[in-house]
Amino acid sequence: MKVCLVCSHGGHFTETLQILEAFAGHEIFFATYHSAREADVLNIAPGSYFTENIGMNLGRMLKAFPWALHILLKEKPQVVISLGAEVAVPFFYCAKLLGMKTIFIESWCRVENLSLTAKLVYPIVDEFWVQWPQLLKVCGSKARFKGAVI
Amino acid sequence: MILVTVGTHNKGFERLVRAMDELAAELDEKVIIQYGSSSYIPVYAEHFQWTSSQQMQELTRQARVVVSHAAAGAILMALIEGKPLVVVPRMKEFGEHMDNHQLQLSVALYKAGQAVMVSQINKDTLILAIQKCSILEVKETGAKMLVLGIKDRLASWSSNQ
Repeated sequence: MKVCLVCSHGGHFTETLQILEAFAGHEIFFATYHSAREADVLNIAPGSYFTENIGMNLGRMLKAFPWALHILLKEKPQVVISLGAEVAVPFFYCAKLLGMKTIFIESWCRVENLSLTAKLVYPIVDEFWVQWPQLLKVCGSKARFKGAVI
Repeated sequence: MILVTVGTHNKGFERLVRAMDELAAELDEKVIIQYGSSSYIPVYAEHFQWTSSQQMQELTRQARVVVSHAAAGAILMALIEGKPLVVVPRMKEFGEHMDNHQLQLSVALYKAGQAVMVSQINKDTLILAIQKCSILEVKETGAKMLVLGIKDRLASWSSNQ
């Protein structure tokens, strides 16, 4: 299968590296932020895409939707997976529109409360996983604990 | 060598940087402090503001103990290298982060026996924590369960196509 891995840079990218062996035998590419680790991303997946850090900027978030749609239409992955952060939002909504399967894994740094990204994507993702069992208490019935990155 | 890291966060973590620098003055062991956005610049310890993740990884490998702000990326780096870890949460009340989720992560790690936590930051609590974590049995857990979960899901979707 072709898998699109969506993540911001920094810790979210570090977490994503921890699960890469799950994709042996599949084709992967990243959609992530420009950062000092771009060369690392391209070493793993040469056909990856980069954009500006969205942060809490609504303008950049809105611009990310056509960017995500363009990438998904061009690459046609069967599955979109993300450990956050906010860059996951446009990708999951576009993936839902295009009938692609989605897995959201809440970041390992979230122990007792969900991130805003998690709350925004919960309604539409096929799989919603958390990395700490105690977090299940504050999630809907869709949520599962399937282990952690460490 | 004791490696201290406060990450690339845009807020400083002067409480930790200052206390570890004061401790460095009293220790024979080398202390290296990555001070990031902190306005206090170390005087006694070797220090730098930022570096590449490769260099951080290399320093982590060389360290005997890591003292880190409680951010996922920094903690992961230490645990992946199997290093004894002291986690110090950034607190909203001190302007070190926008909320207190680092405290929750620190407590969870402490309860899981994967790190020693310091919340009252001073030389005494820090040296005690450094001594304690050195004798913690660092568990090699890895992402096996999660990786299997993902593989299973992909396989079931693949067979349904």
